Amino acid sequence: MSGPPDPTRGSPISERLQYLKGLAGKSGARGVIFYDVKFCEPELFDLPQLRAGLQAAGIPSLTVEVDLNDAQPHQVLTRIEAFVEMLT
Amino acid sequence: MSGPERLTALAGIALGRAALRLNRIRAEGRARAWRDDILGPPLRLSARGKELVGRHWLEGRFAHSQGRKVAWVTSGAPVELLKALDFYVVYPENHGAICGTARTAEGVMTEAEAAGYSRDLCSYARTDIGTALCGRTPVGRIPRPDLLVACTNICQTVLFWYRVLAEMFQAPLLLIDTPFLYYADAPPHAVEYVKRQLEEAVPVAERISGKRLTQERLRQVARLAKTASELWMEVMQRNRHRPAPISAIEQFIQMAPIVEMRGDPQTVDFYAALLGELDERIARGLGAVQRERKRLLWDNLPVWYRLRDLAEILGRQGAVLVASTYTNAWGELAPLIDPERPLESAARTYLYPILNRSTGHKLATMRRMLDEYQLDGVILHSDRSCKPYSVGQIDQRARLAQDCGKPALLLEADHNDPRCYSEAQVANRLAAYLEILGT
Repeated sequence: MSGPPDPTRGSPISERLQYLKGLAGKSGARGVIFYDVKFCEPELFDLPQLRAGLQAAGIPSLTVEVDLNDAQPHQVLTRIEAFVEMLT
Repeated sequence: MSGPERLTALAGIALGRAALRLNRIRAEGRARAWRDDILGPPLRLSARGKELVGRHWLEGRFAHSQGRKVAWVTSGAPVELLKALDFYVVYPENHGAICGTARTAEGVMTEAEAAGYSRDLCSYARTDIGTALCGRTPVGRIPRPDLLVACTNICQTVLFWYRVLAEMFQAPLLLIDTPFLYYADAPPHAVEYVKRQLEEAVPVAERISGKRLTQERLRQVARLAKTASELWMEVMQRNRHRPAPISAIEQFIQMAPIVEMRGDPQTVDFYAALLGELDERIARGLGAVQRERKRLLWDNLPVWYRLRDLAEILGRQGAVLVASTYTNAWGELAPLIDPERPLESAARTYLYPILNRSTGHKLATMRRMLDEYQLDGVILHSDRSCKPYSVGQIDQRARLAQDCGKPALLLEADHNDPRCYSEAQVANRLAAYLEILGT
């Protein structure tokens, strides 16, 4: 029960945001990639406010939608590359 | 609240009510028949229903300026407690349905999508979040919440959705967690668990409302809620008659007060009057469709933006939706409400909604309804936006067809997102289904 804030357990979105910002600060991460599984509503509902909050803190983010068991199209690689280029 | 603000609110309410009354009188004076003679004559009382719902939203517009606190709640939330504390209660799901029937839902949903909310999320949630973001609504204005109450007896989605609202409005969120019922009866520990949550909710709601909860007021609200639910059940049971006097599609419209105004005396009066009108229709042999030949069951939420079309496609072939598991859900729990033990009985009542019970229970409910209403077939709406209601429907369809010998159709759509509705495909599938039924 003492894990990180978790939407399936009802943690407020603001706690998740604080946690993410803290992680980014500690690790020196300059961007966040959200890797969301299609139809996963606990994650999808949180996404816009998390991204907006990170943006406000100067941390850009990228969302990649995944369908379990499906390979990612090459397009996703291109987007990640572009995201990394933007950060460097 | 300042004196002038209160006065403005009173004037606004008086003016609004006069406008709604005028609309009703005009509607009542209009020609009684639909354009074509597929459907039976419209209910006389529908103009009054519209006025009642209009007055509810009008009241909301001025709730804050009258010093009332506002709660936004899920459709399965224990509202009696909030009513007894004089909260003005908003049901975002009902508001979503209003946007759906008014065909404004798509516009506000795209606002939510533009803000990053996935199209895979529930269309009620997207309608609500979109409305909160852009403020556009057919009901005038929705007061912001001072309290949010989400009860998981209809889905887990509401927990995730209401957490978004909690951030947007910086309002406290009360969660009532209702363990899923796998078996026929709720185990005592589940009832106790919900009861304790309700007891813990009381001081929170009291603090926000600034009022004290009295047992007497709570009993009174529970009594009104029970009576209204019983009357609503009776309304639906009038469809045991042939021809059925009120189609499930008409019930979808007339159910608004039992959901969002449960516990109000006007709701009791409204359904008592509706029952009177249905008895009159029965005495005169009036049905929901002109020539009733086949009687059907509907499972899942309505397709709010195509109610009339569906009624006409079916009605043209003499088919009528006589009953639905959805409208039934707001009547079947009436016996569980005990006004003498309002909190304890609420703990039980709010554990028993159909969506908090097993798929086997839903199948049994449908079987019982097939007998009770002497039905010829079933349409199962596979609702992209409501997974808990749609899960199990493929097996349920097969069982109904094989074991009960009732043709059953799975119809893919979405309750509030018209972009997930294929006009031609639905028409084709319904036409083929009606042929099998032999209408």
